[in-house]
Amino acid sequence: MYRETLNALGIGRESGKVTNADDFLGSTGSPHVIQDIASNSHDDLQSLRMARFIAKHQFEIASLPAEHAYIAWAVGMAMLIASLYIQARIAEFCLLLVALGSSILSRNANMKMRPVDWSVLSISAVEVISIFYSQYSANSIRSAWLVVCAILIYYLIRINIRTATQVALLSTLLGIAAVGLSFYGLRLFTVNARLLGAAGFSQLVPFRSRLISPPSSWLPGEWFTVLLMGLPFSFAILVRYLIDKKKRQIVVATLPTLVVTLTLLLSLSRAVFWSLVLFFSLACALLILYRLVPPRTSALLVGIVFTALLVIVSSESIIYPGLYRAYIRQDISQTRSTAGRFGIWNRAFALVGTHPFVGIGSGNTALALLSTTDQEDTAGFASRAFSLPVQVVVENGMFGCILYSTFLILIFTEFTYFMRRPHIQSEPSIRPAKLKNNCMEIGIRSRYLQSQKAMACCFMAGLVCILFRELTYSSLFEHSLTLILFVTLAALAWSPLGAECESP
Amino acid sequence: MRVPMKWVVIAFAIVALGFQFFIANFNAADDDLKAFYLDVLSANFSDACGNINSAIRLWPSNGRYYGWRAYCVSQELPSQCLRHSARKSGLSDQARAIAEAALKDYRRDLELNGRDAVAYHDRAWIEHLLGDDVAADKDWREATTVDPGNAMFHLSYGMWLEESRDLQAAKAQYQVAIEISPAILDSPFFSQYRNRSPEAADSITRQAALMMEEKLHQGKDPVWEARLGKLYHSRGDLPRARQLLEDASQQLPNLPLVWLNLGEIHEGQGDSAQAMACYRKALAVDASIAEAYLDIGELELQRGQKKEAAQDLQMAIQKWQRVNPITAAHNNRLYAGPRQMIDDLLPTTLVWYTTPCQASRAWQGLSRLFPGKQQYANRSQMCEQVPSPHLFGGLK
Repeated sequence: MYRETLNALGIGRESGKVTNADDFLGSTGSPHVIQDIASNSHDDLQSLRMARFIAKHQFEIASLPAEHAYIAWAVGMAMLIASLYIQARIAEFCLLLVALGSSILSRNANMKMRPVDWSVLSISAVEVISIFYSQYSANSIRSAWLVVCAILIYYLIRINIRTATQVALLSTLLGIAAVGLSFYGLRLFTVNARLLGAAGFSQLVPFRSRLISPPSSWLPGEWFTVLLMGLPFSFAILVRYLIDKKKRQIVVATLPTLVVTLTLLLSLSRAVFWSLVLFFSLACALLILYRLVPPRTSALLVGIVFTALLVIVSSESIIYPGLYRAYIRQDISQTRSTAGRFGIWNRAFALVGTHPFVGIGSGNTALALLSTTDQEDTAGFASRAFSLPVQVVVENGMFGCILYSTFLILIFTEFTYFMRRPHIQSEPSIRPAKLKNNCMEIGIRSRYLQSQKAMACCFMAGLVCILFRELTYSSLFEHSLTLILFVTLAALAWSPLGAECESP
Repeated sequence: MRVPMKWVVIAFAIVALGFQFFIANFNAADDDLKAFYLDVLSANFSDACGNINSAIRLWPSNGRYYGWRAYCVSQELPSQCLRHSARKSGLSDQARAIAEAALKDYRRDLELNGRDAVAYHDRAWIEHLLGDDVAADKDWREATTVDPGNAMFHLSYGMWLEESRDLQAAKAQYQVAIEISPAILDSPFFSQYRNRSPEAADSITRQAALMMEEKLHQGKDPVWEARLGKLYHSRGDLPRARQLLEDASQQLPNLPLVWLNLGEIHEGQGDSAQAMACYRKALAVDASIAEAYLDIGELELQRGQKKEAAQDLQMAIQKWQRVNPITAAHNNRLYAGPRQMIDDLLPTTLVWYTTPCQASRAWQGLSRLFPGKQQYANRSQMCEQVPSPHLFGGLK
C-alpha cells in the first residue's frame, strides 16, 4: 500500500532529499515518518499531496498495528508513577533508565524543545544549585532529587505519551489507582466514624484529620491531594466516551469519578471541596468554550455533574449527620485552622524579608519557622507553610517564584494555543488553515481528535484545581508522587495536542 | 535555534544518574540511621554507635547524624548532674573524654544546622557536666529561643537555674513550661518540686492561671480554656475546672486530654459513670494515653471487674513505656529522612522525669489484684524512683 502511495505521490529518489522508498517501507508507516518525508521534501506540490493523504486518513495511531508498542509506554508510566506511592527507591532508578532508554530509542525524542521544556529545565537547575546556599542542605538535597524525578517524568510524558489512546490508557490506569485509594479511604472513614460514634461523638468535623489515616509517611492532607489529582484522570475517560458517544462505556466510566468524588467529599476539608467544585466547573466550562460538546450535551453535563455533587453530599450527610456543615458553616476547629494559617503566613513573609532573592533553600520552611513562633500561640507547631506560593517564595526566593510562575504560565499558554486549533470530529474536513509554526511550513494542517482535546481540558482543569487547593496547603513538594502527578497533568494538558505539529 | 529534545533529555538523565549515585550514599546513610533507631530502642548501644558512624562516613554533611552520634556516646555519661552529689570525685577521665567527643559532634551539628534546638540543649547538658556553666547557660537559652514552644527545654533550663540557685529565673522557666503543657503538673518533677518548694509551686500555678484568665478575657480560645481547666483541677477548684473543660470540649471535642481531665473531675465529684464515659472518649480520640487506661482500670477495680481492670492496668504500663517521643513529633516535620522513633534529649531520664507517670499506680493496682506476684509490688514506686537530672543541693 505504501509503495503505491509513494508512486501516486511521486515520491522517490528523484525527489531530492526525501528518504528512499525502502526506508519508508521499512518503517512503521507512522504519520511521523510521513511528516519526515514531507518536511524534507522541497516540493510544495508534493507537500500538499502529502497533506491531503494525511487528511484523508484519520490518524488514530493506535489503529496502526505497529503503534501498539507505544501503548506499553502508557502502562509502564502508570506502573512507575504508582510505585512512587510506596516510595520504592528502585522506582527512581528505573525512572532514570527509562528516561535514558526512551530518549535514545524513541523517534519522538527528535521533537524540538519548546519554551516550557526549557522552563522546566531551569527549575531543576535552580533546585540543584540551591543545595549549595541552603540553610540546611540535607533537606534541600532530598527536595532537589524530588524535582529532578518529576522533571524526568515530564520529559517521559512529552516523548512517549503522544496519542489519544496512550493518554486514555494512562488515564484509565491512574484512575483505577485512584479508585483503589478511594476504597481504602472509604473503609477507614467508615471504621473510624463508627468508633467515634460508639464513644459518643456526634460531630465529625473536628475529627477530620483522624477519620482517614493514610500509611505512616503520609499525612491526611497530602493523601487527599493525591486523590484530588486522580480525579482528572478518571473524569477524562468519562469525557472521552461522552465525546465519542459510546453509551455503554459512559456508564462504566462514570463509576471511578463517582467513587473518587465520594471519598473526596468525606475529607471534610473546605479546600478539597471547593477544589472539587472548581474542577468540575472549569472542566465543563472548557469543554463548552472550545466547542467540544454540543450546547445541549454541555448543559446536560453541567446539570448532571452538579446534581450528582449535591446528591452525594446530601446522601453522605444522611449517613453521617452534620457532615455538610464542614462545607457551609465554620466549625470552631476550622476557624482556628484558618487563623493558624494566617499566623503562619505572616511569619513566613517575615522570613522572606531576610532572604528575598534566593530563599532559604528547599525543604527548610518548617525549620526556619520554628523560632518565629510565640510560645503563647495555641495554633500549634508550624510543620509547613500551608500555602504553596508562600513555600516557594520562602524556600526559593523571588527568583524561584518567577521561574515556577513562568512554567505555569507557559503551560497555560501552550494549552490555549493548541486548543484553538481545529479538531477532527467524525469526518475529517480540509479547510484552509492559517498556521504559524512548522505545520505551516510543511503544509500539513494540524488536526486533533476532539476527544483528545476534551481530555486535555480535564487535565487543565485538574491542574487549576490542585493549584487552588495548594493556595491553602503545601503538599506538592512533600512526596515524589504528588509532584510527579502534578507534572503529569501539566504535560498531558497540552503535549499530546502538539504531537501532530511538532516536526523533527 | 530549536534544539532536539533527545539530546537535552539524555544529558539531563545522565546528570540525574550522576546525582542518583551521589545520593545513593545518602540513602544508605538513612538506612544506617533507621538501624540506629532500632538498636537504641533495644538498648544495643554498641551496634547503634557503629551504625551512626557508618552513616556519618556516607553522609558527612548531614548535621543530624553528628547529633545522634553524640547522643549515642553520651549514654556512657552519668544521667545525673554530680554537682551536689555525695560523689565528689566528679567525672572520670574516660567520662570526660566521652563528653569532649560528644561536644565536638554537637559543635559540628550546629555548624551544619544552626537551628537544631536539641543539639543546643544536649550540648548545654554536657557543658554543665564538664563544669562550663557559662557556655551551658548560653546553649540552654539558645535551645529555648530556637524552639520556644517546647516545654521540655524550659523545664531543663529551669532545673539547671534552680541548681545554680537562681530560683526566680528557674521559677519563670517552670511557669512557661507549665503554661505550654499543664500535664507537667502530674510529673515526678513537679511533685518533687512541690515537696521542696511548696510556695514556689503554688505561686507558679497561680501566676499561670492569672495569665491564662487574662488571655481568655482578650478572646475565647478552647485551648487556653483546656489548659486553665487543668490548672484549676490541680489547684482543687473543681467547679471552675469543670466549667472550663466542658466549654473546651464543646468547642473542640478532638482534644483528648480535655476528656481525660474532665473524667478525673467527674470521678472526684463521685460520678463514676460519667467519668468512665469521658475516659473512653479520651481513648477514642487518642488510644496512646496511658493515664486513661489507668483511670479506667482503677474504676474497674473499684467495681470488682478484676479481669478488665488487670487488662487496662497492664495497658497503662505498656503505653507509658512506649510513650511517643517528644522531640520526634517536631523532628519528623523539620527534617527529611527516616521517621524518628526515639527521643534525643539528654539526660536520658529527662523525659520520664518531666512527663506524667502512671506506672506506679498501675503497678500498685496490679499488686492489689495479684498479691502473690512480688514483682508488681517491687515496682509500685517506679515513678518516685525516676531520678532527677539535677540534685538540688541544700534546696528543699
